[in-house]
Amino acid sequence: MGTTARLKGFIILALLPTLLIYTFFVIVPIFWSAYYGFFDWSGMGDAKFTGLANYIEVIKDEIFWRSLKNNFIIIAASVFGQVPIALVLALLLMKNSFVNRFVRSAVFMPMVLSTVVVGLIWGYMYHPQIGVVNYVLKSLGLESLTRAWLSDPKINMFSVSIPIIWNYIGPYLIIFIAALQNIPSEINDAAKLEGAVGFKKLYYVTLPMIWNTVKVVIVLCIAGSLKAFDQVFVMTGGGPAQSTELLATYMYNNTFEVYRYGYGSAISTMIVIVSMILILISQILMKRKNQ
Amino acid sequence: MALSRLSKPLLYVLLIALCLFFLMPIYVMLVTSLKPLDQVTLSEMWKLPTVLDFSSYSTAFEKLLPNLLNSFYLVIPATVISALLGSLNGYVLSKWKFKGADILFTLILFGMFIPYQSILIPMIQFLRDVGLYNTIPGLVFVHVVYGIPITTLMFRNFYASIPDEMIESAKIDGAGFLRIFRYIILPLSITGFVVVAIWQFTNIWNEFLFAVTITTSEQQPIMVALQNLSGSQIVQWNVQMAGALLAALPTLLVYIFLGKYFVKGLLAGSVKG
Repeated sequence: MGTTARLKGFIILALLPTLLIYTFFVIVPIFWSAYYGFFDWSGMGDAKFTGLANYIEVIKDEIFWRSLKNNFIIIAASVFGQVPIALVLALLLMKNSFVNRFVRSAVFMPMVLSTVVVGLIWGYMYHPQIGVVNYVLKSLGLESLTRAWLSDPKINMFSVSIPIIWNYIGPYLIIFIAALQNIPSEINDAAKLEGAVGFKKLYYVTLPMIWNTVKVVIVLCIAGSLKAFDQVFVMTGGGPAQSTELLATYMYNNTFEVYRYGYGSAISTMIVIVSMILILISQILMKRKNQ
Repeated sequence: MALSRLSKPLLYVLLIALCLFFLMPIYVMLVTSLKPLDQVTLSEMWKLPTVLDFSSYSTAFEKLLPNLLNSFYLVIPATVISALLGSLNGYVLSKWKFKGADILFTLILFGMFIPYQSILIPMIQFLRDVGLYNTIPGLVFVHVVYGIPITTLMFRNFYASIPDEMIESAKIDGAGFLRIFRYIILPLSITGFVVVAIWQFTNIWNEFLFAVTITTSEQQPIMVALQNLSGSQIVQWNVQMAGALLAALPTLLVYIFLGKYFVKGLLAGSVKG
């Protein structure tokens, strides 16, 4: 029995660093953040207990709701932009030919670029005077379509969504291709024998076979867009007049620009709550669809 | 059949358009970075530079060099430590399953879904208390913490493909927990380590939010410095784009030469255990 006790010791010892780090720096801070939300605090010096004041302010804060709405725009753009495009591309590029591999690499490449680099390049391309986007429109004779892409509050949320879509289609494409290539060839043969081709095959054979992957991708997509910060921060900083503010940039601006750590913490807590609700809802919806 | 004959050229047109959409920003970056500032105008936008002007590269390099070094000091230890921890966790969670191992694993995975922003403030407070705020080691620590879920997931999936019989027969031969890890698992882990290291290297190199909130001026990694490059009155787009390319070069090179492993890592990380 001595050996099993020894073994237990090893297992505990191996997992201990992770367990400690994880508990104290991932789980506990969530509650710590919620606790900071009860204080009026500038990050330095004394904090004054203000009860629920910060949380009430968040709920009444118009800009908080606008940020939430903008976050939902990013989520929608990701789920309805990235996932279908990645799926269609995966169906087109599934075979391992030379051309396909080249196109795949091109689509995947933005993934390894830093989000800051992505934000800078697109910020430059959107530039109203010297940007490529307006230049292309002008040379196509579509002068009337040229815009101040990042400063017009009517469209700038959509302008910032495009680089985010551009940035992350690649990984989903690769995941879908792997899933498609894993479909056993017998199933494809059987489908052919039964006369299922084209869209019919896609709907009745291919999609159900990779449905689990689609679910995983959608959840990854939602989780990823909740973290969205970098590209928007670099391109607009949440402006102008806070029109492109996301939850994360709003939290950042409150905490590190105007030094309202307590209020920033309250926003952080709201971010956790919103994320958990969304992940939960998506999991439940996915389960139901599966049955 | 007529349809497929027609759709083939259409398909190629579509694919070419797609490549353009994905590669155009890179082209713009490259072309702009090689021009002197007075050629960065709307009418010259598309054109290749008339003379290759590397001055923006030397300007950008001069300004960014200290931060480039910071990034290496950050990325190397953070990658090594988080990979080692991930390998240890993956080994235990896949080969020494105990009661509750799966629950623990799910809990660790949960960490991937927590938006970092929400734990940023307590984290900064902790780093201040222990004197690691505004230091590279502080940033290393943060990246190790938030690297654990993904490295554990990748190694666990990787080790799941090592047959259990190998472990069993080693046990019969009297090898214990550590010996099996040292003499069986580690030698078989080389691909795993390459995959995880590339993944972590890329992500930590590119990371921005922690870097911008935890470090200031001299301690800043490359991405923060790059973002600050535009601080002056007139934006020197050519220097900006040259800096962006310099900052992106390490991860681009990794991708060009070791892209296969990068894709492997992506798949290992996306397949839920």
